[in-house]
Amino acid sequence: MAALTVKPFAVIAESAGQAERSSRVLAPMGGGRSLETWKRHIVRQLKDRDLSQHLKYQDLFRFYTRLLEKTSLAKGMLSCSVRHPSTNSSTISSLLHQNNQLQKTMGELAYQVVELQHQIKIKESVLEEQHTRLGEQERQFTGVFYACQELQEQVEQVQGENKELKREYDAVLERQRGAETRLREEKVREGHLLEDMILLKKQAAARLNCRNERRSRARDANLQKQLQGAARSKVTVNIESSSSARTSGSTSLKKENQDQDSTERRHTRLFRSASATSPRILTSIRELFDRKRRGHSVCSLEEDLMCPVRICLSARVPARALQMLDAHEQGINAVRFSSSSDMVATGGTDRVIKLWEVRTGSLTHKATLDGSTEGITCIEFDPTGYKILAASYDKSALLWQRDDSVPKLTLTGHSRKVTAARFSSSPHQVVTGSADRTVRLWDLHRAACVQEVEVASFCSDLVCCANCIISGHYDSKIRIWDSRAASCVQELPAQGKVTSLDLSTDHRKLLSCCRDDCLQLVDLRMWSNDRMCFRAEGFKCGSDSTKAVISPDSCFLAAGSADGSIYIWNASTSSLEARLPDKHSSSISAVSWSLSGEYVVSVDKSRRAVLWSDI
Amino acid sequence: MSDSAESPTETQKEEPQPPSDDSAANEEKKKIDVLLKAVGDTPIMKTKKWAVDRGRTVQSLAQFILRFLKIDANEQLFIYVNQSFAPSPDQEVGVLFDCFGSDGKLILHYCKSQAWG
Amino acid sequence: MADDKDVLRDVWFGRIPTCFTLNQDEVTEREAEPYYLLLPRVSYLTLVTDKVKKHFLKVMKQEDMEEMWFEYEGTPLKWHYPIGVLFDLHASNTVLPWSITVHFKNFPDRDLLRCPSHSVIEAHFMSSIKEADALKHKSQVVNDMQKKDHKQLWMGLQNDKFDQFWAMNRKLMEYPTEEGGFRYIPFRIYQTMSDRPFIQKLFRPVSPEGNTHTLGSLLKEMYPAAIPNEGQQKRYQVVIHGIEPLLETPLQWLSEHLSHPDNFLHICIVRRLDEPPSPSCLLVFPTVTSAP
Repeated sequence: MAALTVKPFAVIAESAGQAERSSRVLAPMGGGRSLETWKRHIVRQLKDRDLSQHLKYQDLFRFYTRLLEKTSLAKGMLSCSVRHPSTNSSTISSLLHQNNQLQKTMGELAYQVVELQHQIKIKESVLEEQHTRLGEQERQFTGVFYACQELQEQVEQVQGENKELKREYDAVLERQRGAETRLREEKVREGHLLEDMILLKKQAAARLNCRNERRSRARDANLQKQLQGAARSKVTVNIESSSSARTSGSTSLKKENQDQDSTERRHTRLFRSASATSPRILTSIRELFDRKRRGHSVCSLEEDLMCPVRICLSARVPARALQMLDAHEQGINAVRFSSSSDMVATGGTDRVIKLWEVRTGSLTHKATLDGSTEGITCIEFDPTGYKILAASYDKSALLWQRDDSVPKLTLTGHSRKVTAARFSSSPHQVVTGSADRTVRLWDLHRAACVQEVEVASFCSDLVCCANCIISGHYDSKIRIWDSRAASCVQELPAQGKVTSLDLSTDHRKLLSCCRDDCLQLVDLRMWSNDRMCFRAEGFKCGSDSTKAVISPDSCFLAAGSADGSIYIWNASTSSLEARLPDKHSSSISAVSWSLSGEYVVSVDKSRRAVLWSDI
Repeated sequence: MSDSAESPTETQKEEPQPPSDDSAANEEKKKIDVLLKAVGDTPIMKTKKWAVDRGRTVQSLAQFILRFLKIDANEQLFIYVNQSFAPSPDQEVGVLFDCFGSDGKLILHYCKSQAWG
Repeated sequence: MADDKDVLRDVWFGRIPTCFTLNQDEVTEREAEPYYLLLPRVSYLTLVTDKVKKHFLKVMKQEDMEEMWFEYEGTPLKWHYPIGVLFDLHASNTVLPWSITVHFKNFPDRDLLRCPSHSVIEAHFMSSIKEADALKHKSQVVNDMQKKDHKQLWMGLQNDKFDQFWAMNRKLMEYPTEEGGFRYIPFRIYQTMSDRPFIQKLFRPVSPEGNTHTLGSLLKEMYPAAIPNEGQQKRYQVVIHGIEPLLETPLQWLSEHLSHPDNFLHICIVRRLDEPPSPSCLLVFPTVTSAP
């Protein structure tokens, strides 16, 4: 398949002739021929070689290869098409057949096309619908969205408010808690205080109980001793024992005591009567009456209906001190003889009343009455001599029965110290005057205040006479009250602050002691204010409660002075009758003249009591 | 330890060896000393030094080593000269000796796997 | 120098027009057309003949095709020789294109090496380079190169990339200036007349006295018969890359510029045709006729 052509391109043949070659070679640079020759030779040779071997065939081979590819392609296609049967007619008929079939398929396809188009239209309308619905939904959604936003804003607002409220609440809670803790603390403190108070009260009660116990024990012991003593000594009083046996009451122990008392009294009586003086005759007569009164139930005071008035026939001016003793532990404020003149009661700052028996010029301590929580200001015996009334600084008045150291009654109600307490002329009535500027009437049955009278001034002392209460006041006035109507009947002026009042036994004369060292004697019968003033040189009223007394026979006046001496004036002549110095070292607070006129007892601030008599 | 042993007398199949040119003829008869060294975990030949005909090809030597080491003849054995290149299997050991021999012997490394690429 | 560069390019791009014809004994479905291809001188047969295989695959069944091998006028062509060497050695002065017969059966294991894949070609190629450098630089330059450099050399050859290849190859062509050249010149002298495949020996480019050796001195040493004596007619042609360099060409220069990509200087000694002006080389122009 390859034709040969000969080309006179004998370049390669020439290459054999190396010698000629070298001569034909151009010397480009004109350099050493020998040096470049071989190289140039090689270069030329290579070029020639390429020309003959490469370049000539290059295009040829390319075309050939491409042609090969094309022919193989064509062959492939032809081989495909050659597979059909070769007869022409059959080809034509088959082609026609094919044509018919194609037309049929075309028709079918056209029909399908129409169908599909119709479906497309339907689908499009559906799509439109969907679009509109979607649009609507979107609109609704935006509306809802805005509403939602608004609600959210509201929510935020409300939340903000809530926070505020919560903050306030927290603050309030804090405060409440603080208050609660403080309350708790206070409660605790209160509890402690209560406990302390209860403790103190308990202690006081315990102390009282102790004292009571001690006293009862002492009494018992005393009683025992007395019983023993009595048992030992012979007593031959038959009548009285039988009468006492008769009048004895229910309680056995009290009866026994009363019996003891009666025997004791009789003892004294007997003793007394041994040295009796004239005025004592009357007293013995009174015994008979006395016995009747005894041995009844404990608290009844109804027996004390009959109390004969004692009269002193003459008083004797004391001249000398029979006895001096330190009666109390502290200063003595009040002293009083009992109506039977055999008992003296002294009371003072030490809160107790001591009962002394007066016998042959000496004071013997008989009993001690306690129960007052503060100092005693005034003491009075009741007409029978068995009851002792005392006014106290503890704003109460106390009533004792003579043999009982525990007070039977405590009359409280005043708001300040009670300066005077007196048995009123009405039975079972007590009048008290107090620094609280009231005068009260008390009923002893009920142990209650029945009337309260407002006075204008501090009442320092009062005395009672028939239906009258006379009170002396710091405003230098003496007021006379009607005890029934409780109204001021009369006002009598005094010289100064009234420190004490005393009524004569016949209730005719009123003695007032004033702070400006003057004693004033007023005749009550005569409304013409007949007053007599008594002064003395050296007499100074020692305190606001210095007590002055009228002698039982209304002839003399006695008062204690600040310098410790007793001044005795003659009531009618208003001259100083006597002066008894040197027995007291301090200011005399009170004096008392026994009803028998025999004795005078003076007490002073330095606990001393002095018994005076004329012998 | 020049423990020379006669190379096996099996004739080589590859190379027809008619003596043609003069210069080659004498040398053909000569044998060259070949030292075979194992590489890697290839088993070491008990006899390492061999006198080999110049005209032996590398391939025949490889097959010889495989037979000697009792390795399956179908396994490949790579032979290296100067630890750098693997000569063509139809290369003559004589040529290798001329070019790469040292101290009168040609040192060949053999390995079951490719060693120097 | 510009000439040197041209020489390198011309050497690289050298082509041989080849006609591949299928062996008649091969079983084909129909008649196989021949396949024409310009083969690169510097490459290897199995590397560049994929198209040939594909072409003949069109007419053959896959199951009938074993490994492809080539022969020229009865001589099996060794694929591991460069194509240019094969041509110069066997068909130097014959008509062009070079007619190669393609076989798919009866692989001659005695004569040819198997080439199952391109990696075998690569291994052979790289080994040749290393062997050449072992002679030139005691393997120093090639060992200094990295794997990727080796790869670049191969890729340059495989893809016919002159610049890519020579970017790396120039390193292998360097030598210390005091030496004057490589240590030894890597060369192989092929001859058809001998049974020995090639001559390869140690040869220095510069003599101990300092003279540059030439091609002539090499031949004198290695193959004296190639050089005609005075008065004697030249019996042989010394062909390198299809040309006959002058014998005074310096050997070092030859090695640098006329080596193949595997760095070896492949020299073919062919018997000269006796008539110098005779049409020792006829140019052939194939024409294509229509298909039967």
